[in-house]
Amino acid sequence: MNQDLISKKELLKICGISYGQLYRWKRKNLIPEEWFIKKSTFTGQETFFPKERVVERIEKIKNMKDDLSLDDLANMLSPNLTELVLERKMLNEREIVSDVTLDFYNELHGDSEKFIFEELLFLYILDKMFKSGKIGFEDGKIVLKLLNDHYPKFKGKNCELIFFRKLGISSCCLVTQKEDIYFEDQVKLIETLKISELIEELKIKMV
Amino acid sequence: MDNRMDLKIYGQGSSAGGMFDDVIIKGTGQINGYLDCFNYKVYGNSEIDGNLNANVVEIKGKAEFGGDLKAKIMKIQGEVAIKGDLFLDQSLITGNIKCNGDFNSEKFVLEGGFRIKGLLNAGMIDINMYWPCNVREIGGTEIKVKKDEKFSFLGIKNIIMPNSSNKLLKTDTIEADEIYLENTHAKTVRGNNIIIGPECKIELVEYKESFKKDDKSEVNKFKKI
Repeated sequence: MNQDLISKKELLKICGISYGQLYRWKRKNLIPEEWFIKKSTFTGQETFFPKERVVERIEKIKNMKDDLSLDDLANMLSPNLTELVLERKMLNEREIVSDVTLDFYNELHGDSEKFIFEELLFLYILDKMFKSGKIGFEDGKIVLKLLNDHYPKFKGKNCELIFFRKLGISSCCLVTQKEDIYFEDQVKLIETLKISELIEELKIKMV
Repeated sequence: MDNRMDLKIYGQGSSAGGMFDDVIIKGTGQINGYLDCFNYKVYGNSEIDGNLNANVVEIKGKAEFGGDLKAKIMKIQGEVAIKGDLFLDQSLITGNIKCNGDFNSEKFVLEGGFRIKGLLNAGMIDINMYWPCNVREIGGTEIKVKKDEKFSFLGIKNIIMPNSSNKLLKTDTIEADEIYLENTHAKTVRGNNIIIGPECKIELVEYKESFKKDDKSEVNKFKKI
């Protein structure tokens, strides 16, 4: 899967921003380093971006920069997990995670009243997958184990969760770049989730 | 601050690093590890193996950093070498810097020379060149590059030994809103308002609003976009 790239010049034109703004946002880490892709063209080196993601991100920054300071924005957009702790009843009030998922989680990990951000994120992911009806509780256990064991290794880098089935047997994996993964024909992709996007959604719900 | 101690090295000494309130080195100091402190002041010679995280960094003399450097204000008079990236709010430099990574700063004022292997990214860039400057890429809002003014302290060496150094900024690309350049060799310069001063060699200029060129400069191609 080859993603669409956009050159820096076109990007500035489409979004109506200046070099100064782009570089400032880069300094503040609002636009991640990995998106700056260097390629040589006939005029020398040029920088390209993954089109969809960067345009979407810049629109988001433009919309929110009036209400929030750039530092707050950076905090919200960065995939680093914040040190926030939420209590169980808050989760219900703000409709972040449904009771069913919470019970499922508590059954595996024992009752707990407080959740750190990482746990919350896992719950949020599970909740999303349960609600979409694509996976059952048995599958949920695999997903949770995968996240618990391996997600911390990404240390805040963007990654994607892929859930797939072959001949009725389910499995899942975490990858940094989905573009570079290929499956054989019999594998059915059930769900792919961009974890960084979920983190943003979750942070917006928590504020 | 939560009960942090000061670290002071007078003469010669070394430390394993860690968290401190103020770190002052007068003489020669070696830090074998990372450092997290409020003020980091060096009068003399210093070396840090790991990262430095500080509020104010002040260096008179020579300093080497093995990792990244994060600070609000950095003042340098002398020579500094950094292996990693820099993240600063303000940097005032008189002297020479060498950086293997990217240099990020809101304000970047330099008198002297530099060699940056990555990107120099700053809101306001003001460069007064006394020695050769090399950087892969420059990006920001306002960029001003000037040749030395004769009567400053650093200019003395250049007066005694004229032509001892070719004062030249060499870079691939410069991208900013407002650009003024002197003595610059670049492949591409892009921006809104561009003024090319004397002694420049530029292959391609792309501008949005205005473009001016000195007669003593060479610009191969320029176009409005």
